[in-house]
Amino acid sequence: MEELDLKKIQRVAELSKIEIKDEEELRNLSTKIKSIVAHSERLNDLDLSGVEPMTHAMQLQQETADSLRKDEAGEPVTQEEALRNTEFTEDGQFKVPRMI
Amino acid sequence: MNINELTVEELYSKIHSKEIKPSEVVGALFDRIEKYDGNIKSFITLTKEQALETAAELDRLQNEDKMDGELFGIPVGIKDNIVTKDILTTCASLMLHNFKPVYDATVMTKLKDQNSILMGKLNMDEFAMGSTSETSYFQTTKNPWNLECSPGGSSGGSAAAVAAGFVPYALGTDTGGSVRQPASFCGIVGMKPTYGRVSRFGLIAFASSLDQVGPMTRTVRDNAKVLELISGEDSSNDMTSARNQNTDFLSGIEKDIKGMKLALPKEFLGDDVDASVTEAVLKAKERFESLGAIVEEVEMPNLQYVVSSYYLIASSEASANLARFDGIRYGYRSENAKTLEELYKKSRGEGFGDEVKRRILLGTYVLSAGHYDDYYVKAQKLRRLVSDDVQRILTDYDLIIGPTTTTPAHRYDEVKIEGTKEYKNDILTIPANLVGVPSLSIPCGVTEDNRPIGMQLIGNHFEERKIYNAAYQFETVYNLHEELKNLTMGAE
Amino acid sequence: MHFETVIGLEVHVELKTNSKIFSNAPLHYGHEPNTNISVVELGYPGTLPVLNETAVEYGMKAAMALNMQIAENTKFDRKNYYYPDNPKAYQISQFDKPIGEHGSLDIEIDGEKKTIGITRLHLEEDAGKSTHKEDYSLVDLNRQGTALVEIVSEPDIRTPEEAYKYLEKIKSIIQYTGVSDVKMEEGSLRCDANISIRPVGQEEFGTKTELKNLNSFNFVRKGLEHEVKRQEQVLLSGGIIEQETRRYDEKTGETVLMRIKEGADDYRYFPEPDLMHLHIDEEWKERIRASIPTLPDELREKYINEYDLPVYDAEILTMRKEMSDFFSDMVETHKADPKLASNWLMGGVNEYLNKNNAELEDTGLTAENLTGMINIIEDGTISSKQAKKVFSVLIEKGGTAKQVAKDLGMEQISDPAVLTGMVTEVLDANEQSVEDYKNGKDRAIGFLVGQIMKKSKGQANPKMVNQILLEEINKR
Repeated sequence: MEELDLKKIQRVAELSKIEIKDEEELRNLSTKIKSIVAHSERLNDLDLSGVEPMTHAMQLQQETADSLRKDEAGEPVTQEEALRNTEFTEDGQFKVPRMI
Repeated sequence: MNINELTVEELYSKIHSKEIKPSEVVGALFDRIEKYDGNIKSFITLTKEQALETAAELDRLQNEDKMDGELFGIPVGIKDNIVTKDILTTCASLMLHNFKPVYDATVMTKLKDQNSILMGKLNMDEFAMGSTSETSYFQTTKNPWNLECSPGGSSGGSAAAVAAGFVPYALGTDTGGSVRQPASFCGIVGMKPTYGRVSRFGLIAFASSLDQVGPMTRTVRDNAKVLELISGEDSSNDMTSARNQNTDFLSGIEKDIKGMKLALPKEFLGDDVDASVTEAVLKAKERFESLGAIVEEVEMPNLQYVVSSYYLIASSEASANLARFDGIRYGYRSENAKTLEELYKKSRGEGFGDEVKRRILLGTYVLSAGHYDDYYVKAQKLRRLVSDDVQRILTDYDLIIGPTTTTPAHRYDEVKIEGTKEYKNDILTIPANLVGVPSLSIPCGVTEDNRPIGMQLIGNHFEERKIYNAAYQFETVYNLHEELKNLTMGAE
Repeated sequence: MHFETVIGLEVHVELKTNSKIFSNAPLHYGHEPNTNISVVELGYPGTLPVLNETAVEYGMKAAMALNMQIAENTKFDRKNYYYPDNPKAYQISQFDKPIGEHGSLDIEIDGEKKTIGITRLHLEEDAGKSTHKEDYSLVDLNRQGTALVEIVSEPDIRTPEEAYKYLEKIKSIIQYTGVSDVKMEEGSLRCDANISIRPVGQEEFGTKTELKNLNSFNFVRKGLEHEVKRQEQVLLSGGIIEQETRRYDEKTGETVLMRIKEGADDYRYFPEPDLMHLHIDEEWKERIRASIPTLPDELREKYINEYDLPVYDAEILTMRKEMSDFFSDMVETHKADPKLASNWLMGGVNEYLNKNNAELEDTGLTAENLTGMINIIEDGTISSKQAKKVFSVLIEKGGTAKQVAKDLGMEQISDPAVLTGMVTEVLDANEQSVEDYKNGKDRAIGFLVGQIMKKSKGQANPKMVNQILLEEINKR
């Protein structure tokens, strides 16, 4: 596995849409991330071929023909409720800086 | 009568016999909170006005003998990552410092249906990421048994409030031990139920495949009762809640446990475990044997890998779950943003604390092209191996027992342990989350400096009943409060 | 140098469910902004997706109609990207286990059948809508969470015309299944195209560009035509094609650069932990399969072979289910002559629908009444000219052809006894003309017919008048 350097963490921050103020913050965040990633290299000691990844804690439960939600519409939230938690609105819509 | 010492069951019967009024209970507890929570700092938000209003209404109903609900008039505190309609829900983060949800979490609705009274929202690690309650944007909660110590986390506020007698019970959430570890540090009973036992609708997700809401109480019976009331299918809101499962935990809780087979994995008492903890657990083992249970040593070979697996999975899921916090529809919005890109980056850069950012970055890294197979998939495979380990043991044994944590509550004056060592503290609680099985932490000892020690009982999926039965029996032969010195909450 | 074009199409189809794919919020087109949403569509913290049964069944139906294999086990994944109309910053989609795979459809190019492979069909949620102002944008989440299927073709399409035909066929097949309105103008069908060119004979594909903003099938064709030319010019002048996303500009008819793709987009797909895996058993599949009506290709063959319709007619009649249902009803239930029925549907009916931008089901016309009208034209009750008037009443207001013709006072008098009476009266009153006729002046007949028609106020059946007049005149 490739080495995780500051440049890569900066790139990951871009992907995560998180602004890192300065190099000090970058270093501070990186230390622990690096140590966890390094620690995780131990997983390579194990022979995991043929092991089915477990994505849910309830592997046995599956949705089937009868278990899904019936297609019935309920009450929507009101426009007032929808917009209540931000002051940046116009014409009943959310307002953001212009998208490109 | 000290109202703050009453259990859920005691309050229930005293209110029903009209010995006390709901408003007296609420009033007494707010008095206590106002007196001591300045030191403990367990609440982020108090809902005193609404609570007094509700209590007055319940007083009237009590007077008219219309006391509906299994929690009629009984106060509760809720961890601040569970959404409450029209009441601030912050996740202990600047990101949600001003967020008032327009709906109630399913667990909240269920408690309201039982006429429980919400006292306020409890402190936690920011977005439940941490195990000390120190990553909260607002405050650091203190351990009521020893103010020099952490109450643990992330449900530190919930654990401290219950231990301090501010509320008879609280709800916490547990992703890698966040109910059990603080319960252990604060000498109370904390349950991480089977994944899917309790609806997650309204629980602000940290790691969706690991998170569960759980009750935090002072007795095993109270815990079983509260879990009964918050359990159950919620198919309209939550696909991952379990269907048609028995939720009767109290009946049969008192039957003896003669012949019950308990497994103690030898890895649970490994080198990382503090001597005081090992000693307490070995004593607990003897107590179980005195109750007629059979305790045998077993192996859980993959335990050493669970921390890695957990961090990779939890952080990956968190990186997506926390991507919605962008300042557009709710929450913190940077004032320094001119472009859309800046709105995202600055709102998230300023609104999240370091630990949250760290985990988002780690998760993003793990999921990004070229790393997915190396980290994420391997972590999920390891998860399968741990699940196989646990299932293998639980084929031959009723329950797995062991310490909840490797150490008692950390003292603030201890040198901070850094990096993975810090994370390793969660090694014993993580397996239950990875596998989805229920695990209960109960007090089993105290250190010389008045720090409680907890033991966990892990059962198979949907076998909370068995856990409560064993825990209840244990409680009959072990009383923490005989060993603990008084609460040291500063003013007392 | 000669180039070959390689096109792959991604078609998004909104499913016509009552509620959203992951919540019970209602679905309506054109409502006030942010009124058809729940806390799920708002991406509120603590909310969870709950899968809509009908969305799954519609997805299965569409996939089956496109000859696909339905997955026995399928699941959902998160596709991560930040955009204001994507409130969770991830879209719940299907990555490696789509609900349908390995499908195909047939198109006809210059009378030759060509099979286009369909790689996959997967379920996902639609995004909200943004509108752009001078220096800011507005976001309406009403569309967020609408159930969507994405249908991805194999790179089997070789010309813009084939792309056009492929889209028409997809639209018609989906329309037949009833799972979507497939209205491009309302966005319930949308299309992106991947296009590359390569020298004829070369195995490997050239670098592709992605075309967006293709708001009608015509624009798809035009956009692709322009893009083929553009890519040829670039290559012929020694340039290289960049992997980029381009937008079709309807005004200039050209494609314009939107953004250059730097490597692959990193969507960080991973299994959606909030949704359980979905198991689709045989019984469920069979239940859905049984609900799929006869599809256009099969109907088309039937119309050509059993009803002797021209290929062109069969194609037009099978573009929309309402049309072929109507036709089948006329022919099978009401025994209309297939060719006459087809003529009216392709002529008057389609003309009316196009002119009024209406659907067949919005009109007053029924298969029974249109057949009735054809019948009274055939038996001479009304003339073809009169039929046009009757038809416009039938389609606008409804009613039976007979009654409408009667109400309009245009029913022909075809009773031989009545007509004979009229003829006799006219002959009696015009003995000179009878004389003229007998003397070989054939024109006298015309005058007599005119008199009879006048007497009947134009309602006499002209054919019969002619016949009876000759019979009676010869008796004299």
